[in-house]
Amino acid sequence: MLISRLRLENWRNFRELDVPLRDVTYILGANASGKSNLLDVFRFLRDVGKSVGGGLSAAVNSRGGFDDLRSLHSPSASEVLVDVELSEDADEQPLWRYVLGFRSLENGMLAVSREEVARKGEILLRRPGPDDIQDDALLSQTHLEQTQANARFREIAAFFSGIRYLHLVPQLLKYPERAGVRSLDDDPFGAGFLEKLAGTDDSVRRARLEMIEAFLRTAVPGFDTLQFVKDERGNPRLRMLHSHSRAAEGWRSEESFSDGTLRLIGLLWSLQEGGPVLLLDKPELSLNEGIAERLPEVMERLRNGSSKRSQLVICTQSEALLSNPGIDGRGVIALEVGEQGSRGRVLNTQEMEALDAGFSISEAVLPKLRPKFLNRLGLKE
Amino acid sequence: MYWNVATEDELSESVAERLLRSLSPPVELVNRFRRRGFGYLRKNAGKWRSLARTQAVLLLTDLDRAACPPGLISEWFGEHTRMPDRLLVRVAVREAESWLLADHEAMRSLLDSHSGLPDAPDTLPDPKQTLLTLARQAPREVRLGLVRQEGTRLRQALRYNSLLSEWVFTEWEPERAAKRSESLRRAIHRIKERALEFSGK
Repeated sequence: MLISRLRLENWRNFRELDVPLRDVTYILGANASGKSNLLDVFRFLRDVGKSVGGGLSAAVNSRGGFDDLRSLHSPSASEVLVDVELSEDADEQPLWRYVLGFRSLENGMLAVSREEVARKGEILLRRPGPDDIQDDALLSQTHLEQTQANARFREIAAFFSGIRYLHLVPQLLKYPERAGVRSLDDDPFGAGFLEKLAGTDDSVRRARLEMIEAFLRTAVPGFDTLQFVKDERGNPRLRMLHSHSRAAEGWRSEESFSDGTLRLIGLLWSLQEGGPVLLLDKPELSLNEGIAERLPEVMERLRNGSSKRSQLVICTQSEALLSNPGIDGRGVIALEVGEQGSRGRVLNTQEMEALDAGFSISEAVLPKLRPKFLNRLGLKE
Repeated sequence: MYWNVATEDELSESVAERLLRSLSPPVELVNRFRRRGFGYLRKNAGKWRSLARTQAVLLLTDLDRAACPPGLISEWFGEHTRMPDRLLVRVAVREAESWLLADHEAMRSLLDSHSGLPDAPDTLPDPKQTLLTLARQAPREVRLGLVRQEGTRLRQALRYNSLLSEWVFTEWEPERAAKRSESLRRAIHRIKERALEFSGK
């Protein structure tokens, strides 16, 4: 199952958005066009659906509160709306639809203004319903977050709970004590990543690390061996050996890995992990261009190799990453910034024609998203 | 008709865009294809042809050291192949800089001087060096933006592309420049001709 459509109203940069999504979706846009804010919608759904430590209020509060979430371009009384469709396949009719609208009341409380679940077009839930009208305190929570209330649509609650976000910050992994936190939440920003490795079944971990090792041998000059170990205090560590050094003195642990190597390890691990949706925020960061160029194919291969194929949603503005002409243009969303905030769109006919002619996304689409330093008036665009 | 421009550097891109911008009625520019370096345009010859089946492509390149424009075109696209109508390959003789130097009025406002401006810029062996040499006499801001000295050689400075591009859009007049550059005059003529042919399509 995958998220096949996303519709937003008043979410951060987006006053309105309505885009289709595919197995692999690339979200492109200049700096501050809302790429990361768009990815955050999916994490938001996951956070709302969490029965423990989650829920609507927690999800909104951890994002700075309702006013930070609501689009600057919308009137303060307006609701924030998230509407997703889930399908078995990108080209199939939706199986599920989940709609969540919420607003801030005059007393500052958060209230569900709309919650709807439909399966194959049949409405299973529509709120506010009679109970909510009797007792409006009920509207402080979604049914998604309540195990008792979501029985008929637990499948989508489970789907949302499996959404993962990868944004490995090498500094947090290398110096967890400086960051002051071991793990920010379920997402492997830093030290949480090593703990995740530790918590994985031995044989599975070995197989995944072997695959990573094989890739690093082709991508990192001099790299030879990658190992997972526990140090004398029992903390999980990664260490690697370079081919030119002797084992006795050559082992180096993760704090001396380069940022690019650490990011690559995190990425390759997450891709093998599977799960419904994997969100990747600028996977090209700190990577050599030659590696970034190969990422689309590596992601595809690993995704196909996993029994639980993840849907990938990737934010990027990397020319190298998008230079592979094999990228499916139907899975590209371009974000453009206008006076009413950001807008997202699929590729237009002219861009698809350019892809048909053999050009890559980085040639056919990226130039339009470049910031314009020059005032180029006169030509209609 | 949708138009694209394809070039190998920022300055040529601005010139190509400026040429389209002077068309009337205005045309819609859908994309700017640009990769630095020799060979990008040539390597993609098949793709330009293919794209030109549905959209217009203005491909602008420099003659550089090639002998003549027809020679360059047949070398890139094949000797006897018929070019698609929507693919317009124009070659600046020898570089986009020749076309810039051909508009003396605009040059004067950039350099604050008119001494040494070439009467026949198409015949210059190295128009960019000529432009850099002239830029040494320019007011400080323009001079520092355009040219730096490296040993005995003049090299382009960091703002070369952005400063000249801005000037191309604000000061440079293609029609005026065409009076001193035959290669530009012909380019403008062909672009107008095609735009007229395609208008309404």
